[in-house]
Amino acid sequence: MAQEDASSTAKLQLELEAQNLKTRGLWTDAFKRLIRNRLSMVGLFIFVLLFITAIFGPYIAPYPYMLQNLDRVAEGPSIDYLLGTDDLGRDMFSRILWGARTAGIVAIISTTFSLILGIVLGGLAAYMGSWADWIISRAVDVTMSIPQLLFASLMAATFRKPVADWVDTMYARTGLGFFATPTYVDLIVVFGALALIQWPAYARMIRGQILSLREKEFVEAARAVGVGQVKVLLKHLIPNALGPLIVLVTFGFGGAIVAESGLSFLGVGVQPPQASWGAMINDNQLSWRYRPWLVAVPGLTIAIVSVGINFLGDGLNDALNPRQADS
Amino acid sequence: MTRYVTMRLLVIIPTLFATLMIVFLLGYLGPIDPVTILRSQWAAQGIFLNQEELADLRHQYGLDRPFWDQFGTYMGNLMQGKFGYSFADAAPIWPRIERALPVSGQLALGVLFIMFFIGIPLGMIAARFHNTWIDYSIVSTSLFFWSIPVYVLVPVVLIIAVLWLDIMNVPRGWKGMGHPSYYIACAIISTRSLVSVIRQTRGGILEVLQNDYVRTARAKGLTEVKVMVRHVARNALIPVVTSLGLLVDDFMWGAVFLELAFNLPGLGRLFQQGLAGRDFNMINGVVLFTAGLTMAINLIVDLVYPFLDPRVAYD
Repeated sequence: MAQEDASSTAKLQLELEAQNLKTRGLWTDAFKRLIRNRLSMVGLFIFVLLFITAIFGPYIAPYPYMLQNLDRVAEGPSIDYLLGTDDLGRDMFSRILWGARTAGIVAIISTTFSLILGIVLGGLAAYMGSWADWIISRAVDVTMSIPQLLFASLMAATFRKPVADWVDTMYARTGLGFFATPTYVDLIVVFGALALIQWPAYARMIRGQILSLREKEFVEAARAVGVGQVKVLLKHLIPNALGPLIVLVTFGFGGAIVAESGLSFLGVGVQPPQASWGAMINDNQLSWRYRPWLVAVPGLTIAIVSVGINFLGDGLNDALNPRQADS
Repeated sequence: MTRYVTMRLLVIIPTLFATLMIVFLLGYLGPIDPVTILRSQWAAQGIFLNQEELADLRHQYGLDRPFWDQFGTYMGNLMQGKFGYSFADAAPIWPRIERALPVSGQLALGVLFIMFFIGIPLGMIAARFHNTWIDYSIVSTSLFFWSIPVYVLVPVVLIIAVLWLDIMNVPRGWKGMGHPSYYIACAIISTRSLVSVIRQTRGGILEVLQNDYVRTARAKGLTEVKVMVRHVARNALIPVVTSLGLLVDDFMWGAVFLELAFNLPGLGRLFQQGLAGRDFNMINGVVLFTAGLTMAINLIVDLVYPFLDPRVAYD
């Protein structure tokens, strides 16, 4: 009796311990590590703020992004115009808020596009092997050997007209208001160009992850004890590949925002009068000496967003890939 | 070894070919061709061309021919070492690239110098004081600068240094390596590469420090400097060298914006001019040159690898 008692207590204790262990899973641990990192918390705050601004910014903006007040051109910050007005008399603060929407949309959609492309092609390359792997790997090599900015700006310059024509015919055919807005042409062009330069990074990582994880002992062990293919994929491969992927996606967000601004700066991205931070720098570049805030405000906005997202990415990297971060 | 080099070259040539074809195809498909740009330039001077004259011009430049015809001609010329002529002013492309090369080359030299003499020591310091405030500040400061794009850095530097501190004039134009504007340009353009080097050096050293042979070296009484230089740094810097090929991409990103802002006659500005004028031959020339450079650097790095790491051998 006493022996049975002891054994059941031991059993209970084991179960409790198992539960305890369960509550300290991979993700909880990662989350705790992330919270401890102050810089990445600041980054998270900026990240969240960007998307809140992207969603609600245009509603709280005091003026429409195109509204010109020709009586008050190129003013410094004042109560009416919190960050001043530009050379065309448009409110800088409102344009920054609208620009957040541009940046947010570009970041989400171009990253999603390139992620899907990367997962499909990288997965294909890893699973099919042989010629499929060869072709996809060569495509990755070719795309990566062209300097990315050159490639993206070239593509943005090339595809504007076809996309614009397509949007026009879609409008004529469907009559949807969505297609009547010229902004969407710019955005589609930018998404396309960015997705096409970003997918190789994702494809390469996913291919590498699948190939290396497949050979790991714990996957072999899982197979050896008879765990099915699907369960191995869901329980062992994906959770292990997810950490590096989340980190890459976070950096991808920042990269996409910087790249979009860069394209707009060169004049092949989002076109005026639509608000884009890069285009705002370009528009006001010549007046930096007399009205420095016109350049400084969009510039600092890009810098803050980019720094914030990258700090978040770095913190996530430390939290999700502790082994790599420690070594 | 010879076999390895031959194999690599055999891969590089079709890769370059595919690269050029993609770039050429983008230009071919593009809605705006050089003639459109010429037309608007002439229109600005009061000369208006009708459709027939435009068609004549296109015919003259060969822009009305099918893709394979145009591409074939271009490749044929390229085989003979001819980069073609600019559509904008009919001047040959190669002399312009040749003139731009020393400028870009000297900028790249400055970047390399900063990487080796600032990046590597900073990375080593960060690794040596791992998990102290020194490490944290080096890592976060470098991440901070890594995040700020060149087209933001340039106006911010100008506003601070010219307007606030009033310590310099606007650096415009190329004044050679000795001039202070050269150092500013190098500092701005090297931020991204510098940070990559710091992070890689730090990561590499931390990894090597865990090895048993480092413990052995310390145990047998070597000084810390000797351990770091002879046993740690040599092994830790291999990944830094192997990623030199990535430098070209970072460099071109920065060069396009920096050369535009400071009016430097380098490759970045050539590309920007080519893009603005849809000058396909110019764009092709610059892309071909930079892509070829990336592949050449990668090949050289792979060939140097066995000397850095004797465990690797190509048969």
